[in-house]
Amino acid sequence: MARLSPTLQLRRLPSGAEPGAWLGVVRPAPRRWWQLFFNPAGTQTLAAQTLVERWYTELIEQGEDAPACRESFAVITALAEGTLAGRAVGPLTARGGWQLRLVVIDEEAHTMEVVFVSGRMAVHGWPVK
Amino acid sequence: MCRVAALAAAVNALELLSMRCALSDRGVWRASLLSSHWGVWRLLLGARAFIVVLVAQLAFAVTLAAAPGTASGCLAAAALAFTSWLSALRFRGNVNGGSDAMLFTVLGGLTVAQLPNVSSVVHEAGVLYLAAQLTLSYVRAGIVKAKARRWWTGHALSAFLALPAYGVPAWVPRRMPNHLALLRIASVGVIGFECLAPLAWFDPIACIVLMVVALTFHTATAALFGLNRFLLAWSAALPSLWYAVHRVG
Repeated sequence: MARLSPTLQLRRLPSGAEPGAWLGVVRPAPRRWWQLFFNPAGTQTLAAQTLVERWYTELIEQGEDAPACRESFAVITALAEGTLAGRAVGPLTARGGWQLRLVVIDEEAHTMEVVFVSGRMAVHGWPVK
Repeated sequence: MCRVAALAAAVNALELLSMRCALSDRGVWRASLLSSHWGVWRLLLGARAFIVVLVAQLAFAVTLAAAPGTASGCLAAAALAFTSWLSALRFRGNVNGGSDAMLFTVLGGLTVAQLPNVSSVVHEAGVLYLAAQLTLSYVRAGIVKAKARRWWTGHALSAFLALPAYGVPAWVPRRMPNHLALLRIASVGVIGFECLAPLAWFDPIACIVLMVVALTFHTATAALFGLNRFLLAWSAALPSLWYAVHRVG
């Protein structure tokens, strides 16, 4: 059976408030006709999704403590941080945190499998102590 | 073939140059996170050095387009294969799935096909190797799909169309069961085209039909999924089938 593709999501965790909604990290912009031939934004989006799919494969096959999986998690964290910085997902404050998760959504069966949920992260990616 | 491959390599370089912020010390693909795998190539893959590599890739692409079938073209194709490999190493695998692997294969085949001072058998082998890899790329993908029931029913295509990362335009029908027939026909069509690709080796008409269907397929995937690199890489490889059918058919 073909494996479904994973989706990376993040949410803000404001201190003293309810967590924000889960938002997709890898979100492409609408395409124009000329991007049929030259599409740097699309290539970057697909490269990001390749990172997510590689991390997913490593999580399933090797477990989250495997060295390769840890390396991938560092890159995935950088990817999510980039999204966090570039998108209005709530006020960025020094005390606020955020969280990411990896899910596999089966639209046919209307199910969602949560593969991984991170702990609370600080704005610059280090776990909050 | 050389000129389309040169165009594909030039587009790849220009796209990566456009993405240079993502490769910088504060980007997603920053050296500090990835460089443990770079080994001796570390000197060429840092944020600034890699820009130089990409500019060199553009220059090699211009050379290949300007002098196909010459020793300069051979050197340019080999250099482009090397810079494509460096890009894959830079991204800890590949940038955009199988398109990088296919372009690398094309450039390798073109290097052999343009080698100076060797027998014409070697030149033929370079192009036939490319045609074989191209055919295998379709057959392998076709068999994987044919073995999965979700592909025959259209559900796998529906799931791909729904994946947010691909940014499929909103007007494209993708819902089950509303568009069941359309998704099933498209899926079975893709499986059939991919599994029947070897027929292109044995009959010129079948070869033309396959090349037209393949170009339509890659144009559609570029428009729907944003896979423009696939369109360029496979377009560069497709003429090798025309060569193969006249040597084998």
